Amino acid sequence: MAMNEGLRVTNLRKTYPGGVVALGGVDLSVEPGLYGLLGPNGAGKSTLMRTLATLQQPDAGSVHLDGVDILENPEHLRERLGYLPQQIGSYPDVSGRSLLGRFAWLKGRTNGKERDREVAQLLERVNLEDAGNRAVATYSGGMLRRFGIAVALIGAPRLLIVDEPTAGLDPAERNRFHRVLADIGSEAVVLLSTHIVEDVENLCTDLSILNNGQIVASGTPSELKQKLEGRIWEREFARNTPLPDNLLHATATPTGTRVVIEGAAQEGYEPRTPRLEDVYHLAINAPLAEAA
Amino acid sequence: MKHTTLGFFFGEAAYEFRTALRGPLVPLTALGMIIYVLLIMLNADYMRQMGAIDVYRNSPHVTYLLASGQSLWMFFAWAWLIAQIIVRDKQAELHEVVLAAPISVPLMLFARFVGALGVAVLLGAASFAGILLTPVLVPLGALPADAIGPTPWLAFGLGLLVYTVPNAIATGGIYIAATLKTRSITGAFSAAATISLIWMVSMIVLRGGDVDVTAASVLDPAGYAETERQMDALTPAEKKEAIIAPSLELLLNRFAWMALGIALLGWSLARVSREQLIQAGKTPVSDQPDADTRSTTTAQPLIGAIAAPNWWSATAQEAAWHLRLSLKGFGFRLALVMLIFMGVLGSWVNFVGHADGPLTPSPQALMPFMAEFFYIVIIFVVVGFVGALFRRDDVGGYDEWVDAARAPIAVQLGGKTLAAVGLVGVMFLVPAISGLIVTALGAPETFDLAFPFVYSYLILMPSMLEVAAVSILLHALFTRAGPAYVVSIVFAFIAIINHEMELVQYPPAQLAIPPHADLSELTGWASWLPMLSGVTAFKLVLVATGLSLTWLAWRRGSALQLADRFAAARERLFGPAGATAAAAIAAAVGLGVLLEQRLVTDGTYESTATALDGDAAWETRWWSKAEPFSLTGGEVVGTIDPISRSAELSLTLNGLSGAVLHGQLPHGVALVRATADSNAQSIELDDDFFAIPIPSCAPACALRLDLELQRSDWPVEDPPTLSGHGTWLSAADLLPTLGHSTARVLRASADRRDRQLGPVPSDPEAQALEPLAGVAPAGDWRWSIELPDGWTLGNSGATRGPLDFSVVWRVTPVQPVTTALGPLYVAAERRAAGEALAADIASVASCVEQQLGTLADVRALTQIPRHLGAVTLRGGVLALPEDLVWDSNGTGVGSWQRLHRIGEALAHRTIADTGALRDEQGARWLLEGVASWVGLRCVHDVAGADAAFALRTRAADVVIESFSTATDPINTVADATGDWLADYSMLALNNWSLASPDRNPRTLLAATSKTSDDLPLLARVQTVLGAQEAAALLGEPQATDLVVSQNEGRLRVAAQRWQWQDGGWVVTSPPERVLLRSEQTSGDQWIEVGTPIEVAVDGYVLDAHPSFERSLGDNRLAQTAGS
Repeated sequence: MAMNEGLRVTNLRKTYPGGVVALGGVDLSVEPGLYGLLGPNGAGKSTLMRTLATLQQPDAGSVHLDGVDILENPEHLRERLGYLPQQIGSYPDVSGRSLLGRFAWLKGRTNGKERDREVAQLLERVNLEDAGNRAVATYSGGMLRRFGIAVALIGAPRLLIVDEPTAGLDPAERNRFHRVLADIGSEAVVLLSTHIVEDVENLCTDLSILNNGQIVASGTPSELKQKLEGRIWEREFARNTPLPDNLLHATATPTGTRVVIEGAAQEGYEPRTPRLEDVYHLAINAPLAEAA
Repeated sequence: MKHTTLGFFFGEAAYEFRTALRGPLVPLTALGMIIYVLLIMLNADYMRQMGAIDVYRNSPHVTYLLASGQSLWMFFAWAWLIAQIIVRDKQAELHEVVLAAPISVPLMLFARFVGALGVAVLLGAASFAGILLTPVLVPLGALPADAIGPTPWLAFGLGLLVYTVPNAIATGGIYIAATLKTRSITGAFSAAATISLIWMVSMIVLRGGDVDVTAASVLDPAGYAETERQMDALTPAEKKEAIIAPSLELLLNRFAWMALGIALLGWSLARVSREQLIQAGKTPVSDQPDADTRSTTTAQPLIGAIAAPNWWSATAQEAAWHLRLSLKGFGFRLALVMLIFMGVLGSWVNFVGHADGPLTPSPQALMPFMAEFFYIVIIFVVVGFVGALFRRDDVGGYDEWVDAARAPIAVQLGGKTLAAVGLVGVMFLVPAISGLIVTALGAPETFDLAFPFVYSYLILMPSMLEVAAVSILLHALFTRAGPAYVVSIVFAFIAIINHEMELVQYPPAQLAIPPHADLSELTGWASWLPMLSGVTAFKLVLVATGLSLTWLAWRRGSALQLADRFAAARERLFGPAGATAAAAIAAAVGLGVLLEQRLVTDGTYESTATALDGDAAWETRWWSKAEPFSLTGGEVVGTIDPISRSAELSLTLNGLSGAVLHGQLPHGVALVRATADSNAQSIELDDDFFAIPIPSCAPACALRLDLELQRSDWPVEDPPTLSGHGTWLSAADLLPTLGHSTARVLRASADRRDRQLGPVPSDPEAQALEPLAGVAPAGDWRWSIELPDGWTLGNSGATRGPLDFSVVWRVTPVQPVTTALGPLYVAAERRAAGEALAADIASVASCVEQQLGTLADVRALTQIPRHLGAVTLRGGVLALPEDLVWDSNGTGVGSWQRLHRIGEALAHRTIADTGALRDEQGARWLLEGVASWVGLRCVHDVAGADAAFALRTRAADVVIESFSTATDPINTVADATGDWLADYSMLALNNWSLASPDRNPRTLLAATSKTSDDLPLLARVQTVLGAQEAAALLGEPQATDLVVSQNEGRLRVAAQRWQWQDGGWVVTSPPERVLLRSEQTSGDQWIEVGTPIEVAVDGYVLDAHPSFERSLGDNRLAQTAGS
């Protein structure tokens, strides 16, 4: 693999009016395949996604795709970009097939026959061939996400940016969506932004965790989990029992709350096999970031 | 439980009321309605059509007409409001939640109906708000103070009770039923369209066609037909205090529609079910078949990356996609059909049935009306639909897809722009198709398939493309849709105001206003094309400038800050966008310079302020230098070359005496040299005014003026009169008018004050003033002018009156219609009308001769282009403009008006030739006023008393309006120069003549004959009439209003008189007795004012005094007795 292959983000900064720092010097190196970007709400993920999709200008930093500076030459990226935004609304009075065709010519697929063929293939790939002639406004949430991925896949993109793709999907839809992403990841650079840790754990070979506009953890899921071996403990507290102050994260159970902590063993706690969820929670607590 | 049910009902109704008020529709519609009403109040033509002359603009009668008439507009707004009751929940995906609640669905819908009804009534009351605001137009100077009466509170209340509330309930019930049937807004709009159609059938077919006026009154869903019927029967005095009468027709009408609406509402609510409301209103859209594509792609691999896009193709596809999407909505198509219906209806009522009609709806006459009629509608449609088109992608996610797509901004923007152009183009099908239908129905002999389309697309559409470009630019500048729409609508309002008030007059600066072109079957397109091409090109270049600025300012991306946008614009400035903007601006500057050259430097355009400044400077320099001059006649010799638009002429003045000869050169004419008895004379030239000292002309000399004409101008207001396609010139277009003109002296105090001028100066002696009805005073004149091969008329001749002639030249010969006066030359499609008119013209000419004892020489008659001035007789050629003579369909008021104009023109020339009138006090009255009176008397003789009565009624309306809107101060009739003089004098002289048969035109004509002591004209009039009569006729204007009323079975005549003083009517002593004139009795009868009278004849009471009767309709005895 050539050194200049993939997406390289260097010291990317963006501050909104009012002093809100959305990106505080982000560095990323994304090879072909599925790359996860985890972070809580407000971490700067969407700003990063939009910046990489050439929808926003950063204050500083650089972004290269396959060695080409895309801030200098955004057209190079747009020719190779597939983008699935976080929200897809209800476009009025247009069928999915018609709208897909429109985005095809806007992405440069101007040959009518080729475009019709591609639209049909994409609808089939996202399992919308039967709903292609229905108004997009009548699509369910899952259908809209699948329609969105069809739009993103027009023109066989080299870089696919998907922002919170599985929010609101039922398990079956989510699994179907994962399979589609996995297929694409074999051919392109796929940047998956989400706060659903499971999605990244299941799909991505590499990931970064973004918090307060900065990358606070990077690596493969196994690497990141391995670093926490022997340091994660869990215990179930009965309902109405006070919870400890040093909890890493807590989950409701039928009888009370399961609390996870990090560090040395404590009385009443059981050892726990580190999961990506633990890595995530540890990473977004800034003082513990070093440990990750 | 009852309390809970009531609480739910009122709570739901209140919620619906509040919800319906939210959003832009209600405030925008209300605002639009208020502005629409204010524009109507400002428009004298509209007011005249509503019978509101000499009535307060905010009178009760206007209130009733607006309250019922505006329902046509409200039907659609109400349809949207009421349909929301049913479709809103579904649109918000809340219908299942709402319908699962333990509530009575009929009760809920009824409560919502009541709430929406409240908003509908509020919206309907916007017209009352407009009327309420009308007084604000007075301090703005848009209306005179006496145009406003007391606020018609009672009429507002009755208007609500009789029209707004019943109409809202009736149509609301229908809309509920229709919406429940379709579960979509389509049902309500279809119902609104049907109701509008019924309205049109009532107004056009039943009432307009005089099929069954009662049926029209009962059927009309708005109640307008019955209201108009009642209001038409009222006198101006009654209109000011009118109360709509509960006639049987009105009661039946209101009851029938209310019953229908309530019955449908009750029936629909009784049958409504939850299941019905859950069901989808329509099947999902399906704009492409999917079977083929689905079956052929299953096993194929995905297509790879995109190699070389064809962005031209993408732009075209994007444009077609957007245009298709904009046009596919049922509402849009329905709106187009409805607008065409409205165009046909509006043309039939307002154009064909014009107060000066009936008119023949030829394409050339009709299309300017169509342009006016649809202007407001189309400008708002353009702002709304173009905005919606450019905001279509403002949907979560899709906007980011579009921005992140590979297509350059030019492709996205170009596609949408082309779609917007297409959309505007589709809108202009409306006036074109409406025009075709009306012409096909009303004047099939003039049907021209191409003309309405060419007119719509060449003249009208570019101005709306300007609106579209501004709207697009605003949507590019404003990130949020709301401010962009608001500013766009404000721009549209400004354009509408400018369109109505002509605040900006310079054609290239009239943004969003079509260029002015009086197309005529004689001039055709060719003479107008250079100007139209220039102005249209300028407008298109402005559009291109706006679009290139849009390209620079377009937002690509999200969360953009001002700095980002400036940076992007700066970057694009050095690319194709900047180059396009630079090219467009350069082209705009270039075309602007060209237009300035053609319209201002070479042309006749000057702003009002510039014209006033010029006149002020002229007055300061020249008025006191006026010198008397006289001559015995002379000769005009020369050539005109229409192809090169040039002429070389010499004007020889024989027997000229005086110290200095002054004159005003016409547009494009240069005075090359002046020679007196072969000696060159010095010429002092000040713009187009010249002074030639002629000391050698004592006692008299022959002065030759050599003149050259060269025109390279484009027409601004007046039609082109000199071109290779046709030439229609008068002496005043070719030769200087000798002497000083009183018309150049500023009269308005404010104008004089602004230019540091003192009081209005007194006139110099009459012999220094310019002649009336010619360019040089009466004498022994001959003219001989050569023109190229072709057909010519009037190019040679002689007269003993003032020097005046008409020269007509056309490339192809014209076959004349024979008349008793001479050949009548008309366009081929007018031959039948010409033959029908010939006998009337001969009768009028004979009458004029009888009235004046002589008749000016008439050698030929000819049709001349539209809007080329009045009917005139010059050099023996009677010129008959299309608009004044040939638009009438030969019946009714229009036909009588053209007879009057022809008689007036014949009398005008006869009076002018009889005397030696200069522009002195009283001369215009004699020439214009007496001529108009002679015309009226001849209409009476030729067409009968009813025709003369109709003309007097119409003229009284015009005079009242003229006095309300005059810009120059009105002092005495003798000083008058305004347009009102002819009509006022006609009416006043007609009243004056009632007292004695000796008061006739011949008596007045005696004043023009010179007496040995060369008295001023006023003194001569006094000599003829006596000082008292002369003062009454030529002093301050006077008005009378006689009203015949019935009280306890007895008739009485009430009378009022006014005199115009210091800018207003001041009440004076009323007459003690009035004259009863009847066609049934040979003699007149005097009637005492205020005492009960017994008469058995049908006749009119008239004030035999030199004043004009303000309203003749209420002077009739039989009508009052029978009512």
